[in-house]
Amino acid sequence: MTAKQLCMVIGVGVFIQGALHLAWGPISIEWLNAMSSWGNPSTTDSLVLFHVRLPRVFTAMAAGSGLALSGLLLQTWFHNPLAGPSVLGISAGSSLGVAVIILTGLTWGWWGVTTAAVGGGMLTLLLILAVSRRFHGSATLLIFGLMLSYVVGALVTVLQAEAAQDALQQFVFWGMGTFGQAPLRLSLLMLLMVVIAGRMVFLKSRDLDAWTLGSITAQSMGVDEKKLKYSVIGITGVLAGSITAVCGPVAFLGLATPHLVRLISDERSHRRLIPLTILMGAFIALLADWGVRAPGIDGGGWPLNAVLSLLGGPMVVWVLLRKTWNA
Amino acid sequence: MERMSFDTTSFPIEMEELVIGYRNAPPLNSPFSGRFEGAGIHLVAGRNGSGKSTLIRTLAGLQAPVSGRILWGRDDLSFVSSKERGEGMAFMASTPPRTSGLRVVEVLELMQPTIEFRDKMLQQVGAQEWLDRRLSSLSDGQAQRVMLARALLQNTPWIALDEPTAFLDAPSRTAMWKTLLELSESGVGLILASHDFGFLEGKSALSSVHAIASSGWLPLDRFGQASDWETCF
Repeated sequence: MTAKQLCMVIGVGVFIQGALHLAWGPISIEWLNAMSSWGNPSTTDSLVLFHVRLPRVFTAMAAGSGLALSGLLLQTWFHNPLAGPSVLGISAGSSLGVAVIILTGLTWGWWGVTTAAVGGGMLTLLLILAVSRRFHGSATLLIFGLMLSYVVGALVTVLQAEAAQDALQQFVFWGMGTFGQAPLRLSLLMLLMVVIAGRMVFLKSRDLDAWTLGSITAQSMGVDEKKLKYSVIGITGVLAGSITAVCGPVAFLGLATPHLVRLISDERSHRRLIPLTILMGAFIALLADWGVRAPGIDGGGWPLNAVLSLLGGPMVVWVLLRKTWNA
Repeated sequence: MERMSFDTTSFPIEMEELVIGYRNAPPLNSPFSGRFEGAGIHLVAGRNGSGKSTLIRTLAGLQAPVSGRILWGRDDLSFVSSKERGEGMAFMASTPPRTSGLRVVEVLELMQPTIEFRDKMLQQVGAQEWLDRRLSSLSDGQAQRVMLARALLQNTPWIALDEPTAFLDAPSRTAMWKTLLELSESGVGLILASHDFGFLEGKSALSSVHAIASSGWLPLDRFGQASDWETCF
């Protein structure tokens, strides 16, 4: 199958899943009724469709695509197949930003939380980039990310211990991770952001391909290391940070999706990997959301991060094993 | 537009009071000056740790000197943009990339060559059979040939090579040297750091031989014998 056909197949899968997510739920809705009262929250049907299910689908798609794209970028930049926004501590940095805003009782709304999360994520990434030159071997980088996550996690715990009761509750709910919190406008904004970021990364395809040949060789080919580095920081920081702000710290999507793409396709040039990864991210996020929504008919539901860890953990082990076998 | 042949006389490379090395480490040598000019092979010899590879990367603009400066023609290399750097000098590392999943054809297309130019260079290095293979599936010797073809497609007047035969077996080494000698006839300037220079002894393609040492830059007799060069450093 060519990359184009594969894109089509995954795209159709995303569309079908999206439609099913909209149609299915504990409350059955009249489609015509809901559509005809577009944007009018007075009828139950349109309320459920436009204020509950549609934002959820859009948020899942944007979060899946955005995190997957960040994962791909980080894996290429660090020449490390196990890099990803959650592994390197970028999500933890964003969490700290969010914790500072929520737990200290600052009520800055979505924008404040998002700005803090993007800031926290970018600071973490800057720190990793500053020390990564001294690391040899891919394991050191990951262990550094892990330690960073611990330290940041400890800071968050300290903040939690000092926080007021209702702020703490709000933060704990946020920390479980969900696609179901963003209002419609915000979810559309996230989709737009992912489209723009995808376009920007796509335009860097040649540089990213050259980068896989080694950073020195890439620079000898005329790749501007600084420019590429700041693009990686900017794009992954904004994507992972804002997605973390809206959805909570989402595990594994960023790390595992690019590998899933490499598993089903033998394309390795970024020109093909980027669209495939973006579509696959949306597909996996919608798939995981069934695990969150479907068992929850009686109001329960599994936490998003539990579902993603069940999917993602084995995937990472598989990557590790395959890497050892190849070496 | 693409040139089909090389023009190395376009700029000589000058080293002025150069000291090379790394940040947070003692410099590798006392200041020295020197010059590379014209096509052919310019051999840089020296002991392990003397700074051969560091010099090659510094000359290619991939690493900043500790002090002193390098001139590409009339331009101070520290002011040359990334793009211009890529147009002036290509670079080939001692090890081929091992983690890239790209196919040979995708690696070569990064240089956006015409099909004819690509095939001509592939033939020159003897890699025309492997277009659809993944770079990671090739042996080191094969992958180095592909990386040489890639450097050639960059179509620069200069190519810097950091111990291109270091990790190759004997037949691959001989093949690589033969290819490099053929290339040197085509008008490109090759600056080459190597331990493995016996093959070059007495070859007319050899334009200059120098050794780098902590004391600086030693010119050696290019018509001399490899064993004599070795006794000098």
